[in-house]
Amino acid sequence: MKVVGQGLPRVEILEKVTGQSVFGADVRLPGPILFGKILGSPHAHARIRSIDTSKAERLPGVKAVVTAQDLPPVRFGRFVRDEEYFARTKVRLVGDRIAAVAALDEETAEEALRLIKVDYEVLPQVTDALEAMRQGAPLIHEEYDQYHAISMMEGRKGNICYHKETVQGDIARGFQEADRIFEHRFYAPMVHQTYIEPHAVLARVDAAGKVTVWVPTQAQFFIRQSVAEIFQLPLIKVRVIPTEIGGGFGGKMLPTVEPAAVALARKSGMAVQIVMSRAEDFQVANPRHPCHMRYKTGVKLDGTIVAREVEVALGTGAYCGIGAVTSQRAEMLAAGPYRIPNVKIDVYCVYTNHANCGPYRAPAGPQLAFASESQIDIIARELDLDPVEIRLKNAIQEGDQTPACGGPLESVHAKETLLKAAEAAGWGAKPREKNRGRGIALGYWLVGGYASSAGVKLNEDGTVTVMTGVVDLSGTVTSLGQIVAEVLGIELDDVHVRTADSDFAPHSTISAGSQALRSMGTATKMAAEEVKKQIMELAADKLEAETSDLVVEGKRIYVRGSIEKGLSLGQVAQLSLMHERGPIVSIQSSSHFPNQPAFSAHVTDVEVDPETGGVKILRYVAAQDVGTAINPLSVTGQIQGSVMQGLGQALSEACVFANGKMRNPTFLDYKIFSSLDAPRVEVHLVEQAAGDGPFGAKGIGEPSIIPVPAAVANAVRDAVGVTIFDLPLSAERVRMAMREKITQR
Amino acid sequence: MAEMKKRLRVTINGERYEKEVSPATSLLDFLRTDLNLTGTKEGCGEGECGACSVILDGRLVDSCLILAVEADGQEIQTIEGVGRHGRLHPLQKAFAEKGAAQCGYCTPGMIMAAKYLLDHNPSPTPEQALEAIAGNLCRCTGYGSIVDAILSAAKER
Amino acid sequence: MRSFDYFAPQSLGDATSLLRRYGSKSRLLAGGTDLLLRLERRLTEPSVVIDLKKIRALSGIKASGKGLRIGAVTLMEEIASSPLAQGRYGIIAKGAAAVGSIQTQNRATLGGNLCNASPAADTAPPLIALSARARIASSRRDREVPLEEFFLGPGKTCLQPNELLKEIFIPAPAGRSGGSFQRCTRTAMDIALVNCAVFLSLAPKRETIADIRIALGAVAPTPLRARPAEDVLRGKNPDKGAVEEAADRAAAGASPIDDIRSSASYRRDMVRILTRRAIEEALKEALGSRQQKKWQR
Repeated sequence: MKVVGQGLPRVEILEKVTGQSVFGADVRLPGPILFGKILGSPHAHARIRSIDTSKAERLPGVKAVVTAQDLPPVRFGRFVRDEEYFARTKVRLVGDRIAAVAALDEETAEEALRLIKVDYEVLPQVTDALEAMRQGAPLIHEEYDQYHAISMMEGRKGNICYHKETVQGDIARGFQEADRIFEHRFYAPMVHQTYIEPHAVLARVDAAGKVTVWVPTQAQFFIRQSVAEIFQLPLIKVRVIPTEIGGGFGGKMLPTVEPAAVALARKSGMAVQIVMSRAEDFQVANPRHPCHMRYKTGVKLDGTIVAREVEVALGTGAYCGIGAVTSQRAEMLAAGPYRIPNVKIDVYCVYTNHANCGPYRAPAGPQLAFASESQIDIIARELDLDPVEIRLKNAIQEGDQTPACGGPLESVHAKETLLKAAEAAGWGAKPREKNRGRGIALGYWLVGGYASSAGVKLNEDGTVTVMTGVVDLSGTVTSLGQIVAEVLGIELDDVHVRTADSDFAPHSTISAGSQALRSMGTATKMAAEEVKKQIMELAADKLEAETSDLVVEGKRIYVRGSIEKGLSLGQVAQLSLMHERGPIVSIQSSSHFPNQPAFSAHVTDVEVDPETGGVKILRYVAAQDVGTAINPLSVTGQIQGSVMQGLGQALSEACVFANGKMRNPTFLDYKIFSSLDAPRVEVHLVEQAAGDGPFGAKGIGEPSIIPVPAAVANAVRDAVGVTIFDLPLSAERVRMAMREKITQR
Repeated sequence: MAEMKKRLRVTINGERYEKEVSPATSLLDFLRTDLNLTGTKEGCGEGECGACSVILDGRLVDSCLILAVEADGQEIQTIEGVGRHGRLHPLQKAFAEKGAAQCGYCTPGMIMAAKYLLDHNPSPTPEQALEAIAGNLCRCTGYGSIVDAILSAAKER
Repeated sequence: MRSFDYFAPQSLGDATSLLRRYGSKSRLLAGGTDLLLRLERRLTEPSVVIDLKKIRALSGIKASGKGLRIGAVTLMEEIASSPLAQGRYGIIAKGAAAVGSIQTQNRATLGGNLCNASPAADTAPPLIALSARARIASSRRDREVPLEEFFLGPGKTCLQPNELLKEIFIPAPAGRSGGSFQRCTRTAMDIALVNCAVFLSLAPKRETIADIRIALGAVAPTPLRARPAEDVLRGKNPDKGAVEEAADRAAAGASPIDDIRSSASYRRDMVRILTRRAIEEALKEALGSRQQKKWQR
């Protein structure tokens, strides 16, 4: 392959390095743009007695004030219709939307918010999933029974928005057969995606009532659908123009500021821009689910796992959001990438009075792997087994079924990935200096693929344009260009590929779930192949040759063996305009893809300061099962960035709340890794072409974050002999655990 | 609003600007809103993320924590002034080639921080490169490729 | 940010007369890295902002036989990199270098860091350990106070509404001396959970500590002088036990709080550890390489 497999720079990179890219807050239009601001509830749980916006409306410079009264009475939500865009009768989280204002300048907009008077009756609140499940806990949605929910929403009761029990084998018998049984509880708090670009939007409504929304989103068609639903508009009356997106990691899929901007634009007749402050983004955007986990595992003395019982309680926040997806992911991942005959998994998705949790890079993945892989390590220690050995012994294999995944699973490379990581890290030769340790963890993710369509057209000069609506997060769009170039025998420079907007792009999948390339890449490859076929048919006609004798290569099509007997792609394109077949173009669709596992195995070396408890990452090795790396530069970059996010979750990040209000909504106190914290991440790719996916590519963005907190926790245990059951492994927590260990002796 | 505007004269990327500006305007807002120079980004507005980094009279600063009026009479370099007239600065070229920009949002500030380093230290060590970008948060790359790009650009120059 | 008027006086006299005129309705602006945040969040809503950066007399570092003078609007970067702030004054350079990112150090000033009066300010403990004095100006009279008396509480200093901090004076330490500045954070770029500065001098030709000053940050409403800890060591030729005892006393004297960054008990533990490490390092420096072995652990 000539273009696929090359680490080429991203197609949009020059705009990015020169500052020309247009991100959410960079959109400018002719004419004035109003500043929009949203008024959020100061209470985590309260009944709204009244809202008085009259003073705000009278403030000079204010052009529109909107509340629930300005919107159709619509409840929305993908799984449960439990959310109203502006609260009508009740608020359920700090920051729940009450009203929005648009004004000529920011100061006036802020002043107007202050002038809106809301009378609340404060209600008891509950912010923890386990507490919310208890009898007598404050009920967050009293009218839950009346909400429309899709059929998968099982087990709804009280604040439990979803509960499912998944069983494989006979769990009781499994534990009877076990030589040893281990049971532990773990907790992973809420963490935030913290893309560097906060949520931003600009909305305009034209004279015909058509709404245009410029927004950095991972899911333009979903945003279009949501806006249309909330305002009860046909889809052709809503146009979503995705801007460049300053990081998403799952956090820019659900509607946040868009409907408010649209409502204000409709009411004011002017363009309205809303840019969240960092604090607002922390408080109300959709972070990772906090997660309580109980793991009970039965093993034979040789390390064979015979039974595993897992209970997971996810705090989904005030609304379901994608809590159902996160729950399903948790079901799939809970038992770990191991063949275990007897499994029982209970996943609870629970309403709480905090921010609405959403998708964040491998939803539920790092939390569950932290618990599962910590426990595997504890078991290995107790049974005096090598941590790599115990994992190899139990790892899933080609054709295995695992609970809740379906199967049989194909392209299973758990063992290869583990061995690659172990070998790269020099597993056998462990460092034995005092307070230093090494940890390994294995993670996996199941990559599906949603429906996508893409177009490819041959331009009059032989260059090629790709029509896609997939948003570029991770270099996907560049990879699409590489796929097309590979199929058509041209260079990436001969291909134009950028994200088109919802009015002009064929329906495209979301840029999430690690499946964008699998899904969109497949559709794009099909379209490129169809274009190639059209080129060949036309050339065969002109060259009086059989299509099977034709070669498409180097921007030309020629008869095999006689390179001079041919046409340039430009000539073919020109001819097509005269020819009976007309312009060369194709739009193709791909459908849903079955779950395909992608593995990542990480080894890290740490040093613990025994006095302060501070953990320093000395080395980090990440091996990943990527199928074919379409663009190794993008793949490696994805993995390195993903590990760094995971390290933050492992060591320093947590959203901390008091009465539902986030206490650390700043980068000063929500500690993500800086360059001085960051180890150099050594990436090793396990490249075995997958059965499907374009050129055998697998999903890569998510598997790489899953093992990180576990690998670090296991290394800390190896270094100083303590197990920490709650993330993050802050210096304070490590020190505390070390002290407790000393006093226990 | 009672506006108390001040006359502000600044040189930005070699161009002189003279504007009336409210004292309660940050340098960042002045660049982005008054002058439409949107290459400089806002990530936090708190001086923690470095996305708004510019070089003010030869010093790398966070433009979100400076009033526009404080820059009166001073010279500002922004990303729009790095590698002008269609020619890329070696840093821009290296950032592109090394995969040092993914989403690209931190990139303008990151390049300003890197340029400030190379302006003062033409051949930095990897540790010095890491130090130089410690005030610029990136959530996509893990920083390794950025350091590679800085070192590669240093060799180019 | 709420509207305000802005002045950038060129002289100290102009600045103090503006202060006299606007008093508590005004806010002084130096680097602005704290003030801008407060303005943006509307934690302060002055009608006038007085920018001090154009006043030459407030800027720069000058050394003489008597000591070191650092102007209030001298940048953290200038202090951190100044050859004058090295050697026996080295801990103030270390403190300044700890304040935030390069961007912050290129903007934040010493006066700003001190007048903001954060209990965690990284320049305060080194200066207190160095016996620094704050020189204060107003349109009426100038005065000088020991820096440890400058702070009254979080965000509160002894400055009157008509006064401004002009410069910091550090008297030249006598004889063989050593210093150390230690801090403890969550990640590399972070506000100090606890910081600690130690400065000590030895008796002539002996290994006895003639004088020692220990200052702590982020463990009380103001930067804190750990006098009981100093008393353990003053006049002693300390062994490990004495150093440990001093560290214990420093921890006992601290009154940290629980907050988002750390628990009080962790902070107290860190006071003990950082104080011990700082004393050890300062002793090492004072004793020179010959005696270092004694303090290696």
